[in-house]
Amino acid sequence: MNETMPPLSHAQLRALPQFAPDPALWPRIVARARRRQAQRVAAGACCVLLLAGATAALLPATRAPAPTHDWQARAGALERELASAAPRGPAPGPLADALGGVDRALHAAYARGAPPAERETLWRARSELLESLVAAQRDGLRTTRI
Amino acid sequence: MEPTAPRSVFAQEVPPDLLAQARRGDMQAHAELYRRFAAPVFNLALRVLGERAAAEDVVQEVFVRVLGQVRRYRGEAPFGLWLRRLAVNATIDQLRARRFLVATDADALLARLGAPGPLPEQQAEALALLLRLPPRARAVVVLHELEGYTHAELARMFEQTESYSKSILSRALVRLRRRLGRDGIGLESLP
Repeated sequence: MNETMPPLSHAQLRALPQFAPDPALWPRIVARARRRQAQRVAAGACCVLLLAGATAALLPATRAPAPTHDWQARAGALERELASAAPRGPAPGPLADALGGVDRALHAAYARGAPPAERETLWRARSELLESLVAAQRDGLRTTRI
Repeated sequence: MEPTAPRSVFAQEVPPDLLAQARRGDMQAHAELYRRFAAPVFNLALRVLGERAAAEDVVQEVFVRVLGQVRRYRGEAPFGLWLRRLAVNATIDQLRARRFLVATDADALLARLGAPGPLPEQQAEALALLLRLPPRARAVVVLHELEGYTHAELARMFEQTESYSKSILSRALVRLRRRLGRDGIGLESLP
């Protein structure tokens, strides 16, 4: 193909002017990537909630209690870490919304005397959401504008 | 799969330490990758799409993917060429998803690029000539002539035959040559 058009050389095309994107684009990219990540985590948390509901419906009420203290303790520690990193509370968004949903589900589970396995699943979901919020907070502090 | 394009701006070396940091989610490392590659991605998309806003959409899409997917990059190809493939795919997605008008007024074309200031006259004229090509022809010219993609690779990208790619390029180059002759601009002035 190039043989038919020798004058249109790579060097000539390569000299096309270079433009720069908007300097404010990088912060927008970081924000959009965070939103996508948060949506993925929130979707995962919703799946966990659905799974917890299904587990509660299928598990016999007489089953031996499962340990709940580990996830609960982990959630407590993460909550303290988040409180020190973000004293005004987590930024609004899908993660914070999902955390609110898990909290309501936990209250409801205790109120109706749900089996320990169901509560453990919810505490685990709460821990994972808190972990994501802490990580998001940490990344936010390290975000660099260029 | 990737073409060998040693002079492509995407072929620049990236320190392994920088990539390792980016894989661990270090935002400063990602910012550095953006600093190195945002302009090449932007210019590739801009030349093909001919619109600043559309090209910035491509940059945004590509680097959001890098942030989310850099852990999957295993180093089989140089990082820049891996990233270029993301850029080309995102650009072709834009081409497929939207209608891009082919303007004939050079000033209107250059205005859509959002140049910060006046370009040298010959560069502006030649850029306008390139942008007067239909978008798909521009894509073939830019990817084949500047980025070194082969017709076989272009055929796969556009889900067409190699003959289709060759024909598009041939017609585009003939059209450029005619315009250059008609407008009295020497071929050597094509920027």
